[in-house]
Formats: sequence, structure tokens, C-alpha cells
Amino acid sequence: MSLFWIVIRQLAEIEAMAMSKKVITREEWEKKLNDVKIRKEDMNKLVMNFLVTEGYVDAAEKFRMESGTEPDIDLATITDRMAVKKAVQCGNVEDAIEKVNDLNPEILDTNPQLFFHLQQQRLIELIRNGKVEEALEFAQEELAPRGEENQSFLEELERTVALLAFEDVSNCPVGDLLDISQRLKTASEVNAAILTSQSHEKDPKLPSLLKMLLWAQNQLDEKAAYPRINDLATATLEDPAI
Amino acid sequence: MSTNNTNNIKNEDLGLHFLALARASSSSMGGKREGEDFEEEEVPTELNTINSSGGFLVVSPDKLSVKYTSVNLHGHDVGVVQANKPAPVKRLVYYFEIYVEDAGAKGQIAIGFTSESFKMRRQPGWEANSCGYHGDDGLLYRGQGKGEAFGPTFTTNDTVGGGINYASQEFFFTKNGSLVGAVYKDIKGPLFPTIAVHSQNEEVLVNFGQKKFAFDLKEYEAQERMKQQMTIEKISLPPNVSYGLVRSYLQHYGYEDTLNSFDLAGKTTVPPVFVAQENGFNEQDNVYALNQRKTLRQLIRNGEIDAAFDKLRNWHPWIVQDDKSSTCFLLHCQKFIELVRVGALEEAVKYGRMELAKYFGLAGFEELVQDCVALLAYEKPQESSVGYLLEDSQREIVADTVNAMILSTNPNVKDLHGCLHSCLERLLRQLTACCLERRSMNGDQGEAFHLHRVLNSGKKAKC
Repeated sequence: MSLFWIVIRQLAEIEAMAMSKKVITREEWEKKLNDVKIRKEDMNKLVMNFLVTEGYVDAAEKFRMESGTEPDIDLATITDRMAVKKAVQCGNVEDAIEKVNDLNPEILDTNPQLFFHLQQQRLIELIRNGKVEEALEFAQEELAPRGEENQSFLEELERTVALLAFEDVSNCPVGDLLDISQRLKTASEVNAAILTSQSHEKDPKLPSLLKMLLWAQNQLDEKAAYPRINDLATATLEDPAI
Repeated sequence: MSTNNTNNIKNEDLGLHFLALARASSSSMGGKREGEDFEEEEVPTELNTINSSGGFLVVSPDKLSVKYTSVNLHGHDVGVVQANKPAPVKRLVYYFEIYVEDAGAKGQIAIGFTSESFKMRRQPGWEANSCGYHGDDGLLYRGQGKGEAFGPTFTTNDTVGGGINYASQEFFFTKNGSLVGAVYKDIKGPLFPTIAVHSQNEEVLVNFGQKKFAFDLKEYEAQERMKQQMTIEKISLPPNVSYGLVRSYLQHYGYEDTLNSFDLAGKTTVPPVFVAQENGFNEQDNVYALNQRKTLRQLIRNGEIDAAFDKLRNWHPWIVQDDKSSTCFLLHCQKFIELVRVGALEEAVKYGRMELAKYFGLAGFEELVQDCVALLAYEKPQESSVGYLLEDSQREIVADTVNAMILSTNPNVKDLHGCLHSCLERLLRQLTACCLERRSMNGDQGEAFHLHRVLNSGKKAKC
């Protein structure tokens, strides 16, 4: 009799396993989380990598002192890189180009696209400041020859020059070029190129790891119900949905 | 009083957590400093001479080559030989190669993977639970009787490789260093690298990685990782979430100077960084006793343990009130270590007798006391087996202990776990656990996630 019930129960379990996802309770999951070994030094490195890559030079210096973590790049080079970035963000593109060349002339020589985008930004700034004649001259002399080499450059150039055709640029179809986001885009392109020239990764590792967490949770969702973290900012563990 | 008591027990748990950490890097705990916790798995190293289809083939004495010595008559006298171990699974890719020394009479050579129970007189791919790439027709066989169009034929002087990609769950094959193709792996369980010869004088050498592969495996792995990375990079994150996590990490551990510089820089960037702060209480709890925690961390990191004790007695007497607590114990040990560091051995002995002796015989404490005292036995303690105690990371652990203890005195704290781990750490733990769980549900196949490896991968790319 008892054997009969054991068999029945086993069958039920097999059926349940085949039909529904594995359920991992909060308690079981917390035990797994506790078994994970994360080293403090590694977390410090991750934070340092973020500070350095994003250009928080003072904070990186302080963090080196407070935590003993060595940065993976010479901190002095961050100051130069941030000066270039800031120059673009403020619209001083000429100044930025000069600074990049002081840092390493190869960066612009080997990156025609970046150089074009910087020149394009310069043109945008001239138009923004109402220097129509200067803008036209600059477009014809500096940008047009580059456009001949490359079809996509040409299209970009035409789009930018179109700004001159509108009296009220804030309300025209290419008005987005005048937006602050265009400056930020160009600035982050220069920033990435400088980092690459210093054999450093152009993006910090932390955002990739966060994306990986979201991805890993989605992958595991297919096979199991377990406590998830839905809000990255608070890292709160949610109870599994059954 | 009774509530205070339960609180005590929980707080002591916090201390025990750090006590375990304090010993984690000692050699007796298996704490490898460099090699890192890569799971050891046995890998194929040679051919298995015991279950090979003896009689039809001869395996060389070094067990790395085979030759078909008889004359083949039918489909059941194939010379098959498996590797001595199944392909390891806890990795991204497994791969091995063969070199065709002599294609013999008919060139009926095959490379592939078979399960343990494979019939050793049949070509890999002719039977269920096996897969093989055949040299004479270039077809791929997957246990369905008929081969499918796959790649070029291979013969004398060709190098052919077979691999398993655990990320995509595919078998793949190569010829002379180029990828031929891949096919879905529908076989479960351990798989043995397998080679087969089936006509007179066919001779094949096998390379399980002892020699350089013709195929650039590193590049293949890098590309596979990149593919996955591309999918992951497409996922979008809430704005400035990384920024906010770094900030709360600095707050959690009391890196106050860094935090101030970070905040100052955040205000002056274009545009200023804006972090959503819906939950005001979190911020408040994060900066609880921030300056005290910073000061204590500084003192401990400088080795000024007496000063740290003084401050604690002043600010949080409760933490150092019980001399038998983990926190007091760790501080006393650190004080002893600092004395050894500066060569004040006599004073160290005196201090040890006064403050450390009482911990002998106490479960959980004894090992660390023994390690500390052992420092005295060496002329150059840094190079000894207990040298880990003199490293910077040991001071950091003690500082982290005190930090967590102070956080736990916050009356608003309901869950002590929050004192133990920063948000960042909780996320990294979740990430690691998810990856491990997913792998274990997948027959342990594929790579695990190791923060340490991710952090050091950039450096390798440099050189």
C-alpha cells in the first residue's frame, strides 16, 4: 500500500517537473547568494575603472588614497582627456582639436570619421553663432573635400549646411544638430578615441555587468522561478512569482 | 533588554561573516591569490587503449596516434578509439585536432564525439548518440543512418579539428585552421573525443592541446564572447544607474573624500548628472555616521589600531563592549599584526599574552589566533605561509568589519544584510548566482561568471 503511494507521489513530481518551471524559494536562493564569493578588491577595481573611464580624476585620486586601489591608467592623462571633452561640450571645437593633437597627433590621423565629426561640429558652432560667411567658407574649404572621399560624410555635410536655409533654426527639420545632445555625442566620440589610443577600454565595465545581470535573469526566467532583482538602484530581492 | 539581546546575536553574525573573510585568503583555506577559482575538470590527454576496437587498429606507445592494420571487410570492423576522458563541459568551448599522416587505401577517416556506451566497431555518426565528420565524403553523420552535406573531404597531410561550443550548443569542425561548419548538438551527457580509421594503413595523429592547434581557438572564443556581448549590450539601463551605484558604494563603505569629489564633479559636468532619488530613506541610511566611518577606516588602514579603539569607545561603546566579540577580536589581531610589521616583536609577544591568549580554544577564533602568533616564528613573515596577514587587504577587512558594525547601530536598519553588502555587491552576487544556476540546469555546461576574470580581461587585450 505504502509503495503504491510512493509511486503515485513520484509520478506527480515528475509530472510537475515537466509541466512547470523549477521554483527556487527565497531561502534557497539566499543561501546560494551567500555562497558566492565576491572580493572587496575586485569591487574596488570596478569602481576605480568607472571613475577613471568616466573621467572623475579627483575622485579617482581620492579613491586611490582611501581604498588603496591602483588605477589602471595614468591619472594625469585623464585631466587632458577631460579638457578635450569639455572643450567640445562647450562648443570650443578648434581648441579641442588642438588639444587632441597635443596629446597624440595619430588619433585624428587614423580616425577620419572622428576628424570629420569634429569639423562638422565646428561648422555647427559657426552657424549657431550666426557667422554665416565664415561658415560657408569653412564648409567649402575644409569639409567639402572630405565629403568627396566619402558618401556618408557628404550627406552629413549637406544636412548640416541645410541649417543655413532656415531663418528659425530651432524649428527646422535639421534643428537637432543644434541640440546639446549633438555636442555630447561628438564629445563622447573623442573621449572614446583617446581612451582607445591609450589602450584602455572606451567604456566602463560596470554598465556592461549590469546589462549582463538583466540578461542573465531573463535567461534564468525561462527555466526557473526565483527571487529577482527588478530595481537595480536599490538591489532589492523580490519574492519569486509562482 | 531582551530586544537588545536578539540584536546582539544578529550582530555577532555580522562579525562572524568578517571573521570568515579574514581567514579566506590564508593558504590553508585554499585561498589562491592568483590562479583564481577556476573549476578544475579533467581533460582528455591521450587515447583510451582499453576499450578501443582492438584487432583492427594499433595505438602508438605514446597513445597519440592510431593506425589501421587489417583489411576492412564490412561496416562492423571500424577502428575506433576514444579519448581517455570526456570533453570538459565547464567552459565556453572544447576542441581537439587530428593530423592525417596517411589516408591509407580508402581514406575512411572520421573525427567526432561519441557517448561512453558507443559501439566501438562503428564509425562515429553511424550510431545514435554520436556525431562525426567523415574524410572520404566530407559528410556529417549524426546517428541518422544518412550523412548530410557539410564540408570538404580530407586526406593525407590535412589537419582536422572537432569542437563543442557550449554557448551555442553546437558541434563544430575545422579543416587546416579554417572553420568548416557547425551543427546543433542534440546529445546529452558526457561526450568523448573520438577518431576512427577504416582502411589499410590509415594513420592519424591526435592533438589534445599538447601542441599548438592549426585553428586559432583563442580568436574563435573571443568572437563567440563578442556575439554574446553584442546581445547584452543592446539591453538598455535606467539613466545614470551606474553613477548611482558607485555613489551608494562610496557611501556604504565610508569613502567620504572620494564621495565628495565625485559629487562635486557630478554637479559640474554638462549636463549635470541627475540620479532619481525616489526613496529618500535609502540615501539617509547610506550616509549614516559617514564621517565616523571614514575616520575609523583611515585609522585602521594606517595601522593605528589603538586610536581606532579609542574612537570606537567614544562613539560606539556598544561595539567594543564585549571583548569576546568578533570585532574586538579582529581589532586585537590587527594590532598584533601591526606590531609584527614594524618589528616590535617583544611588544607583540606582550600584547599577544594580554589580548590574544584568551581566544585560544574558542571555536571560530582559534585558527586566526594561531596564524597571527605564527608570524613570530619567521624571520621574514611576509614570505611565510601566514604572510597574507600583512597584506593591505587584511586591514581593509578589519575596516569593513567596523564599518558594518557602525551601520548596524543605525536605529532605522531593519535588515542587517544591508549593513553587510552594498547594492553593488548584491547585484554582483545575483549576477554570479544566476549564471551558476543557469549552468547547473544546463548539465553544468558552459562558462561560469567570475568578476575577477572580467576585470582582468582588459589587461590581457593590451599586450
